[in-house]
Amino acid sequence: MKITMKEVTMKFNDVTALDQLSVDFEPGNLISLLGPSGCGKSTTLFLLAGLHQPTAGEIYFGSQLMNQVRPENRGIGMVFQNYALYPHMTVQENIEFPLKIKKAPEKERARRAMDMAELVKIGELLKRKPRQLSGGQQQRVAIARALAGSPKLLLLDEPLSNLDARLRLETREEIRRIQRETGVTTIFVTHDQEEAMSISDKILIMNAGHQQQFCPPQEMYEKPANAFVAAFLGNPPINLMEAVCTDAGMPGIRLHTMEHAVPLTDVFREALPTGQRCQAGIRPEDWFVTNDTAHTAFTGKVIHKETIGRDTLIRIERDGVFVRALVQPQANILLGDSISLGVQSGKMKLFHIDTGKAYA
Amino acid sequence: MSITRFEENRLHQVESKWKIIGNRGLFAGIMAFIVVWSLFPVYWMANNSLKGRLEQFSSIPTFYPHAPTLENYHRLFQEMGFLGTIGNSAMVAFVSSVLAVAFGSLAAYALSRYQFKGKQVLLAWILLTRIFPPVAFVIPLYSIMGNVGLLNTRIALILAYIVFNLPFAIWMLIGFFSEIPIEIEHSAQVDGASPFQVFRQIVLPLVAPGLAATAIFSFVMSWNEFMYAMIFIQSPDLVTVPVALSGLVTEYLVLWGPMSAGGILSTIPILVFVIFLQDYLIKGLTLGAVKG
Repeated sequence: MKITMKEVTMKFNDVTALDQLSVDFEPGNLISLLGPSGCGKSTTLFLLAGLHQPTAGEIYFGSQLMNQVRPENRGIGMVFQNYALYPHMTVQENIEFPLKIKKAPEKERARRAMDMAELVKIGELLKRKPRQLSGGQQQRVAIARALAGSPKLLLLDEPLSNLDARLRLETREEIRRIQRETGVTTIFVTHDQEEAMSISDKILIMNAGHQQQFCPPQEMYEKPANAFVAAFLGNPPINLMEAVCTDAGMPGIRLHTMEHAVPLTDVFREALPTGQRCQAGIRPEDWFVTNDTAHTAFTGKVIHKETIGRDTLIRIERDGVFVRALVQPQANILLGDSISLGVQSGKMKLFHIDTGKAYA
Repeated sequence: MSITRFEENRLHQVESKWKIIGNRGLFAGIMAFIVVWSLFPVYWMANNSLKGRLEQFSSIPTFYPHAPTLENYHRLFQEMGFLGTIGNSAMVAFVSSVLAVAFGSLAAYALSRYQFKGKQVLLAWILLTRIFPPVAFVIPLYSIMGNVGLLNTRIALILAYIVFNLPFAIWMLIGFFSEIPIEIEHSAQVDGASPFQVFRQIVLPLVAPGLAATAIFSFVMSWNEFMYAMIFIQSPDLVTVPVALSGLVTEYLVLWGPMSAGGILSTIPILVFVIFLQDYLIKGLTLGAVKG
């Protein structure tokens, strides 16, 4: 089922939690709502669930306007951050609850509960009470319950945040598998960019109630619409620093505090006149160590170095500007060394100095 | 060095062992004192209820009945119709508690979950009826009951007790309702439950301990209430236990024996009621509802 939000605004008293969000969610997709806390992602989810009423705008499921439809009549399933299992019911009763409310025959209910339990691999726990389950198991029960009523839309509100790191990894793969198997349109709220990147068909990234970008994860990573998106995605985070356009024979871009420039890629030439200041974004993995001054974009002193597994992360500093770079562990770099870094061709991102909007 | 250190440790261990025993002893002593202090009057009442009149007044009190007799109980039931009195009390207390809890739970749920204009004023107003001493309402209630022809009926008592039990029930239950994570209700709503289904199938079972506690308090308050029962009821066949027992203090003598017997008997329904509900009381049902 296609979900359409048209200029949806949500205000709590004077606070605007969501400002004129217009977006289409394709049927059968898994879509992540990503953003820092207070960005309006949970509000969006609650609006879709009908637990909040939008201040303005329209929400459609397919072609049907849903604004006035109560949550119980929307045909959705939802998993809450704290799972919200019914503590006085067994796992089976929990999973059966949506069907019991629909007055489904008891046999069918039991069969469906069993199917769902097997889908999320908790078939042997049906007779337990929620408090006898681990966090991961509770989470699976919550998913099974949300799916039991055959919802047209599945809403997940930070479902992994209460799990430990390892379980989180496993569970997000599980969620993806279950979503593929059932084909249910799924909206997944998270503040963890890695989570969103790993399981979504598309990511809707938000900040302060405003939509920032809506596209597939890899595209978002490679072509962030603005500096906020660029900074939010990626770990270690992107290096954002001031830069200026130069023209010494050919168009170039010079990073703040540096004396010489690197060539400006064709795509930026038209948008950026000589002398124009902007924000340059370079991901840590897009640097390379170089001795060639022609390629050098940044030179500085190594002030920090850590090797985690296959990566070596260094931090270098020059006149109060700090840069993070991922380098080959083989490169023999010591603390205090002065090194020069070049940027791999086409990997530098440029943003408007004030608005942060991406050029090109 | 190491040996002395070892000895020291051992000494220390022995000392702390004695310390633990001492602490436990002290704790047990204090507990025993509290138990005796609170249960002795009850024991003395039971003791007296089984004594004849002669033994009750013996100059050296006997700590157990030397000539146990059921005469006091016999008199209470045969001559004073105490069974009917207990029935009156039970009926008045039970009906008023059930109604107070039933209406109280609906009101408390609304007050705990919904935001509406004048909510604070309403809450304060509900509390107000409990701020004034009950005696302040005797005269107005008496004249109201008189006007509607309810004086000298059990209905008058039931209504009067609801006046006091309902605000109490509402305030007590608001706390219990507020403790239920709102996500559980949201979840039930999304699962397709109407607001009443959410209340009936999810919320009520979860506040069962609160309902039980509130019901017990209401029941005990109604059961022990004296003033209204004294003033609103005149017919001897309609009086409640506290009034009946006070009637045993007569102009010429105090009937200690039957009074003790009645006191013992009057605790039984409360015990039964509490035992009946204690299962709900101690079940920490919300435990494990949400993680964290």
